[in-house]
Amino acid sequence: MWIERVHIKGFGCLTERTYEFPEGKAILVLEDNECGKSTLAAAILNCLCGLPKRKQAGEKIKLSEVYKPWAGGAYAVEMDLRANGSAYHVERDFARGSFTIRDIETGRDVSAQCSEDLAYHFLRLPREDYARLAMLSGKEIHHFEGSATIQGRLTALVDGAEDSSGDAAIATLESVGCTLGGRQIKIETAIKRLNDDIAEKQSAIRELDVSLAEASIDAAAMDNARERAGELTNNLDALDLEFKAARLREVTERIAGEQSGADEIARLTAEMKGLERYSSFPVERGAQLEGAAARLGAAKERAAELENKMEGLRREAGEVKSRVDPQSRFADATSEDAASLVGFEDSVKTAADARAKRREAVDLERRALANDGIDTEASSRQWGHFERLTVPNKELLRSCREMELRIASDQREFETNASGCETDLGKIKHGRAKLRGLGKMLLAGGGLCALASAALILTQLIPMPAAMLAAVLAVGAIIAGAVELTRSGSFDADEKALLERWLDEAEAGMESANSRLEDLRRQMKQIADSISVDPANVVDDFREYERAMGRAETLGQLNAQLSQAEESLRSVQERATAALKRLGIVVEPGDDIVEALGRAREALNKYLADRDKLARLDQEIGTLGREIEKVRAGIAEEQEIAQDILGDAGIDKTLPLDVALKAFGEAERNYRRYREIRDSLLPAVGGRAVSDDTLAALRSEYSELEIALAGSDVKSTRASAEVESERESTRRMLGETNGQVRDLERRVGSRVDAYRSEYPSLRESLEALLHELAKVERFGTAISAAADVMREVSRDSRRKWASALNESASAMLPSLNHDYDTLRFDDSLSFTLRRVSNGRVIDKHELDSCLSTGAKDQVYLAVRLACCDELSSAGEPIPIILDDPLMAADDERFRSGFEYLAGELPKRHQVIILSCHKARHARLLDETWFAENVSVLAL
Amino acid sequence: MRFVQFSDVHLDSSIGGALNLPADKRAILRRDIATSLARACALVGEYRADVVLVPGDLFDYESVTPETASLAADMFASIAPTPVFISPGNHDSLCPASPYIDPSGFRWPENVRIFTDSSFQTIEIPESGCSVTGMAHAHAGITDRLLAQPIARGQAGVSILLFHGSRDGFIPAAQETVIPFSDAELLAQGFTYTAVGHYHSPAYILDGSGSIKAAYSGCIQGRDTGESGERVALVGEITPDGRVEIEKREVAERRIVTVDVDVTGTKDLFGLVAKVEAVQAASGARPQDIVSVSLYGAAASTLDLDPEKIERSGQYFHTSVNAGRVVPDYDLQAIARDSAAPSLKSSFVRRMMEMIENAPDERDRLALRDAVYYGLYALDGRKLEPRDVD
Repeated sequence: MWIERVHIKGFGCLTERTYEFPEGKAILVLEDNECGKSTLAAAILNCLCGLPKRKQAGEKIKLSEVYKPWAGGAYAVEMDLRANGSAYHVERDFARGSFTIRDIETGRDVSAQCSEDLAYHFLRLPREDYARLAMLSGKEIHHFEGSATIQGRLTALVDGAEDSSGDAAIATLESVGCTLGGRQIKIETAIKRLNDDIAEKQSAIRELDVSLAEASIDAAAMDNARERAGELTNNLDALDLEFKAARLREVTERIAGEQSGADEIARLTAEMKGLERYSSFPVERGAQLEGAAARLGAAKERAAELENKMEGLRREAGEVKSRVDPQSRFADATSEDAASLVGFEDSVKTAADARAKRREAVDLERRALANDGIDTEASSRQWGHFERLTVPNKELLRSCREMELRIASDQREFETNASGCETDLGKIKHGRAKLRGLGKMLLAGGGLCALASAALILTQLIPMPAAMLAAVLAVGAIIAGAVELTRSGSFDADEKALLERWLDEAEAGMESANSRLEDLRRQMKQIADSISVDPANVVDDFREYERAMGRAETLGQLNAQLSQAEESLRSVQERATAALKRLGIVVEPGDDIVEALGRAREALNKYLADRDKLARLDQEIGTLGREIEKVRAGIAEEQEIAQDILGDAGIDKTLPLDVALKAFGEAERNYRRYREIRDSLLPAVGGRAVSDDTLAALRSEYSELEIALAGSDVKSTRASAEVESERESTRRMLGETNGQVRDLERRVGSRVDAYRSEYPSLRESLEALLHELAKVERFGTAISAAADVMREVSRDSRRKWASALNESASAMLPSLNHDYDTLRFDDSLSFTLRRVSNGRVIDKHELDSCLSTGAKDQVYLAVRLACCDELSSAGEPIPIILDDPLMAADDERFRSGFEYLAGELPKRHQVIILSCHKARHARLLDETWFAENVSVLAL
Repeated sequence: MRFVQFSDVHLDSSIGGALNLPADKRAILRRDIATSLARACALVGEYRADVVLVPGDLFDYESVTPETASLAADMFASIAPTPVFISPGNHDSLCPASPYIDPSGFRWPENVRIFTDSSFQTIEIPESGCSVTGMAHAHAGITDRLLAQPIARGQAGVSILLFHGSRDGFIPAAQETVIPFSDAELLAQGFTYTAVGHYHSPAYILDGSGSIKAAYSGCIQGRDTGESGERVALVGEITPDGRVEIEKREVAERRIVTVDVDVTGTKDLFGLVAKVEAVQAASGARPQDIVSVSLYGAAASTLDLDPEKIERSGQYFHTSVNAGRVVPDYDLQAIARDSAAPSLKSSFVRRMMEMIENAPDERDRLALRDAVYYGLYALDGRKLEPRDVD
């Protein structure tokens, strides 16, 4: 892209100005401060890209306010440019915010097809990126004082970060923590603590839930007990009626019975005797036995089911344990150990890579030394005498050639100046001679003419007016001659005086230069004599010596770095080995430590997972075990009840339960017969003879029973005594059942109370912790993602730039500073340079301390220009605006640098150079290349 | 036949954390729940209702105190002999020692009829010519589709179904699903009217002809930002021809009012406070209300979003401020603009936006969205602090 013309209607201090930028030439705007150079650059930028719509970070006022015309009026800039093979006319009115771009050839308005940011449209560089890369100010050199290193400044350029480079951002992201419990801690630690707290709360809630579930079981048991109590109450009511019915039947029979047979008594007595052993049979416990047997069966089924489940869990736990036990060395290990192993793996790999790189650098330098035929030891022996020289003498030898060149250059310059002055003085002398000749000629002519006119007047050969006219002409010629003679004395007097002063200065300078040259040669000779060296060769020998020593020093430094890298590797390996040893893993010398770390990490992760699983299984087994114990206790209790009943009934307790139950039934039948004979049959037979009182009492009882049973159809075939016995047993069972209900009520109540007092606050705490965990986890995930992406994009961007800049910046640098070449960037944009004078490669660590401000400036300029080359390589060339780019350069470097900027660079880019250093540029005005390549623009 | 319906009272429940209420105000809000219940009971006399329908969650089992249960019982006793039918829900399920069941020792007045069976049972009310069929959550929550099978109705002309369940397609996020049912399943049961509880906002279920066949009354007192606006009880009438007419009556004295405030373009705290106060005033919030202010939009880095400084007007019972939806004032599209020489910031944002677009789920997407801002903050040298999660 080429900007051909800019017309500023009004922009800052510039109003109604038009500037033409001829093609192929560098534009030099050479004006004093405050004349509007930077305003012109801003006008070009803003006409090209437009003003930013939003206030930029750090700006107090918007840019659109900054550049409002000082004199009022239109706030607009127009521009003609050429891009993509077409010519365009751009109009921007900043006051109205309007933008128009027309194709000059067709006159068509193409605004709709263009982005308002033309740098973006034509160069694919949005405003900020264009300004960052293509607008270079020499004042940026001051940033080196703010930035720690030149590498930092380059990184900031590539990253586009003003206040904080990508490295600082990554460091911030990597070190960020969060506040927990009023303390700033690592995110991982916060997550771990929160998880621990959550697990604790969840465990407490689970315990409460289990307790509530147990309360539910108790509540169900309580319901059953209540139901049983209800049934027993109903049974008792029925037995009351049955007792009355039985008693009524017996009373009726007694009253009605008159006779009792002795034979029958004897038979019944004999039978009763045979059944005597069943007399104390606990018939009332039959129902209990039946209930116990049913519960026993159910409990056994439940126990079997739980045991099966337990067996499964134990089997699983056994399998896990078989994996965990052999790894007892990890017994005290935690997930933090696994994380530290990962860290060690990375550290060892990084350190090993660093060592390999250092080793490669050493090998490379050694090969380079061999290729260059440098034997540092031999050189040291051959030129050992230079070691005896003092530091100032060495410095003198080092700079001797340069000083000679500089003196020769000065001599040439003085010669040129003197010759120029002499030429100009000759011209002045010639001019004066011409004037003097003319004056004399006029005086002579005037005199002759005056004499002739006097003669004519006297002789009156011609009319008087004509003679008078001739006399006047003669006087005029005399006066003119006198004037010319006077002028010849003062012609170019100031210029002559100036030239004569310059000539004197040049001659004095020449003498001074000669004197300096002689001094220099004398000093050289003294130095050469002091070390017995031929003065003619002392400088070259010393250069050769320095070159060899410089390379030796480089090699030494590289070796030192290699040692340092090896030490780092050894240190990290030792720490890794120690970490492994703490985990019971011994690393033998020669073992691959990374592989060992990897194996250990995998084994540890597996172990930790198994250990957690085992703990969970143990917990489940414990819970299940308690449940089984509870069921077994129930079984034992029921068995005890059953055996107690069987024991009471005289049944062999060792019999299987079903056989024992049958025997119990048989015994019960015998007992009932015994009771029938004793309580009913014998009394019935014996009662045939009763007294009148007894009979009356029986009749009274009969009446009462009849009233009590009125309307009831209850019948009983059993003896009242038997019914009474059962009634008593039922009463006892009801009492026991009510007792159970009260116990269960107490248990359920206490569990529910505990649940209600603890659950709400636990739930609330858990929710708060989960919320905090979600927040911290998301923070951790986001920070980690941001750091990863930042590292990735930073690395990619720098790598891309490093590879692009290696060639072009390196090729450009000697044109800007001939002392250095071979600029080499690595992926971190750190770089090395080679000093041409001694071939020594300047390590990146030395750069900032070794390079002068001017040299840094030129390296940085080379990189900036290389950036523009790189960005132009695939499309339109980028117009470059340079504001005093070589302000820190010495005269020689200024000249050569400017020649490159004005002579070479415009072949690839449009170059606009702004400067306020008129004197420096004035010295270049007579250079042919300057006249051919530079167009000086006046504001 | 007229009825009053309310549910999801949640007596003695915990109060939502999003409101940031201090302990004393939480206690007041818990008392407000009881006040709302009293106002709902008062509708019975005003409306001469024949029956009160409570489809679940009268209280929270884990925190209800005997005193609160007594208070509710007294309120119900005060409207005797109007029968009150309660169908316990998942929060007031029949866990051990529930005030609903006999072993608790708690006694409800005679007019209160509690369904305590986990299958549907029917109680006839001959004097009103209607029957009420209901059931109870016997434990913390039944998840079976009980309405997929026919439910036996009563013999009376008007049949009412009462239960606590989740209507398909309307299940609120983070709410437990209990007895799920579809509209078709409910309508197929053929009850004259169904009173449903569980959802905290009122909703009607209509048949094909647009007649009301079922309704949620919602909760009667807002306790969190999700329960904003008017909280009502329903007063309804079932006409002899089976038509149901329902009216909502606000019973909560204190509302939760939620407002959204866009912070984009706001320059300073004063501007923000003025904007918040203007939105609050326009919201119709009353002095006794709780105002929940949710800030959103892009905030300039200089804008102070400290809730304590923003909620200082003191005009309302309580004002809570949440800045979880506010994002930093970065124009990500502009930063990520394509460039031949992108800055680190631009490359970073572009890469992050790609990752956000390809994020496998919402959780990752939100974390990556935060990551963009954390990265930009780090590049701009700003302090990194965890952003709040919604």
